[in-house]
Amino acid sequence: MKLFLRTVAAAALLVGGPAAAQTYPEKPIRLIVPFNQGGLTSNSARVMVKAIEDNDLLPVPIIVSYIPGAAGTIGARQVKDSEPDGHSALIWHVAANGAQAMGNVDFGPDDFKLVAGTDRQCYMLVVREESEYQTLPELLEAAKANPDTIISADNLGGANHIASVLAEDSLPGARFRHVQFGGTAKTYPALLGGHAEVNATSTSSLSSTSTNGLRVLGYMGPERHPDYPDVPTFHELGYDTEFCMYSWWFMPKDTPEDRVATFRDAMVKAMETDYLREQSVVHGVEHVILTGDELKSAMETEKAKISAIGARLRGE
Amino acid sequence: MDAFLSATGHILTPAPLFWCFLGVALGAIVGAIPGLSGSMLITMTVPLTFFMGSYYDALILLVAMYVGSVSGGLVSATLLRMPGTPSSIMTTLDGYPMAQRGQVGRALGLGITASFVGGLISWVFLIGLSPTLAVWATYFGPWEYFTMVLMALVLIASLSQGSMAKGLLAGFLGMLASMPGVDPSTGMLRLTFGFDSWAGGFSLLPVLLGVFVVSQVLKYIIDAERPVLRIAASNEGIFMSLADWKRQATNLIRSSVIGTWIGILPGIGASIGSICAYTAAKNLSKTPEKFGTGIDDGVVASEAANNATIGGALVPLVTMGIPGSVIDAILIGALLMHNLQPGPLLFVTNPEVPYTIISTHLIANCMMLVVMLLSVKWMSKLILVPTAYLMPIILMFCLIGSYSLQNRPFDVWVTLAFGVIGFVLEKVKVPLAPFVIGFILAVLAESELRSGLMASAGSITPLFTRPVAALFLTVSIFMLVWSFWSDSRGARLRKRDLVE
Repeated sequence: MKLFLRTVAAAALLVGGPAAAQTYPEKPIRLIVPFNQGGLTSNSARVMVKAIEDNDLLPVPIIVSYIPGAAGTIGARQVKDSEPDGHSALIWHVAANGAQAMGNVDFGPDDFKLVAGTDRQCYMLVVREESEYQTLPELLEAAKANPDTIISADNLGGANHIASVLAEDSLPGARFRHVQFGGTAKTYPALLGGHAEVNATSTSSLSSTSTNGLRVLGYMGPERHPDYPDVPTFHELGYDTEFCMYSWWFMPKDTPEDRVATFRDAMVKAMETDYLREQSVVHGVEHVILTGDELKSAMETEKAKISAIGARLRGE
Repeated sequence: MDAFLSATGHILTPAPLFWCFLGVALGAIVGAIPGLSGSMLITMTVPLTFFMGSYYDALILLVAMYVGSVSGGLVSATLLRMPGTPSSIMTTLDGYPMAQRGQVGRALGLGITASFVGGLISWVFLIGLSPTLAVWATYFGPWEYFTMVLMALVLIASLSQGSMAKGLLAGFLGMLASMPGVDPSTGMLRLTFGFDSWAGGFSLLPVLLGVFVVSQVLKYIIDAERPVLRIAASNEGIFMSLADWKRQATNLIRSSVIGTWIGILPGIGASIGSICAYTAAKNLSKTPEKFGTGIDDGVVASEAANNATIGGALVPLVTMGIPGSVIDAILIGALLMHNLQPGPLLFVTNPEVPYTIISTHLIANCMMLVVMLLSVKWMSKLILVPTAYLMPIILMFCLIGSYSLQNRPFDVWVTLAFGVIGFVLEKVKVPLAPFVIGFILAVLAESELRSGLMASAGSITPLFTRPVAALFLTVSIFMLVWSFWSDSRGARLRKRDLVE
């Protein structure tokens, strides 16, 4: 019934739109998820939309569309080229910087209006339980002594690859052999089966496998993760390495600032609900929403890291 | 065990039983309509499940839809030679000729029963051996994947029905069509010719719909003047006789085991399970030349295997929390949104959840058997519907289906373009099945081989030193040589017949 009423309301708004041209939002907002259903990004989008709608934080429904493919660039391009009236939005992640840094597309975060950053999750370096490497320094020293022999299970060009490259960079001279396996569904069995030795994984992927059969060597966050109190951070071990990923929320570049603010306020209020708090725990992500200067600096940090790596990988 | 019994007990009460029935029925209908696929149905249903009282009922509905959708595809594959879902491509090869001979009831009956047996056998593995199988599956690395796919690829050479050159040509064209888009091994774009819309490559569904469905619609439009053959459809033979069971027992078990195993391996779908089982059945058969002409074994192998992949794909889901198939990934997303973290801990924290999935798989399978066998009478009427009414409806579903895959018109153009390609190929008597098999398998073979080569720093020795990979490679070579030999022998025999 509620769904029905909402549909009627949406239809009424659509019809009555032109009369109240100055109001925003005047019609349903289309949120594009540039990935397949089922992944973390699609879930982040869905739970945010549910929290906004259940608490009536925006007067219109938000319609989630999946436009997957090519690391999210296909769906992102659609939002980039949409009418900048605040009725189209995009959720993307580190690939926003990655795709540009790898030279696959000629646009990046600068070609959008950045609304917010949510769901922080930092990366961890894991090996299987039977691995001879007990600690991070042992692993990195071995990768330095015999460079290009220890296999890292990666999705080349993707976030776990970037994290793995940053991890080896913590010790100058250390080099893994980066091999294409894919996402967690492929890298986790590859580690267990001994096809690869090491893998960089996000806390959200790790929580789905419950570290079964794996040993976590180091955490790439600023301080220890509450769920893994025994795992040292890279900083503690003397390596100046940090890599965290966010869900970035974008709108087309020329969207008026007041409309962006309306949408952002709804997101901020949604984040305060118990529902989203619970969901963050289940998904294994940190319950944060970045706005303002914090948001800018987080994006700048990510861009700097990724473009440096992109340049190096393309040069190789 | 207690958790299993209580989960099963819960499903066997009226409301959950109704959800299970609804799921199977909707799944089967959507599966039977070319263009609409199980993953679309489940994607659309997930948000609706929030309005359901308990997440158990939500899970029951979703798993039942999964079972129904893989089974439903056989109906259109058999009656119209249009695979309703990608997993029933191989069923078109023998199911359709069989139906054309008038054995409609028998073709459908065989397919449905084989689906049931496949589901049942995979369920036995799921409940009995899940943890063990999940560990075994990790033994498969890039080299094993590559050689396994290679075995299935070799099937192209023996699927050509007459001219091997044409079969191989179709296979290579299919492989070529799968190349544009993101390079699976490096993430870089390739062969996109500067078109942004090509960045995602051509997806399987639009290609499949084009080649198998739109091409037939075109053929119908162009050949409309010709009188349509009226088939005297007979509903006899829906139930397999004792002699059938005896003849097909080995095939059923073998195909189900192959299907289950391929289901367990992540990233390899139901269509590949069915291709591999068909390959095995054909190569181990005493009458391989009859495959593709409407032989029982072909239908049984394909349908037993594709349903068995469901149980297989649920193994890594319940034991490791990783998806064995696209639909599993959606199921994981649904679990998360219902505040449940999938994975091994689920057996400890919420044992009813994995056991609800497992029991639903069993009960949905039984329900599928009953529902589908009982509706054969109506389903087979489909073949009597005048094509002039059927084709526009099917075409419409195809275009809607391809659009809704990624919500962009590009896929609709892909569907239509491959429709023309499929039509032209048929005109010049180039078979379509090798085209689609090449399309599905090439990228998989390529990315696994390249992963293996990256891991071994460019050396191919693991092909010979890893026992399973070496075994698969030997079988592939043997199959290839054998199909060339039997092809040239067939040509010699035909020549001699002509001379005499």
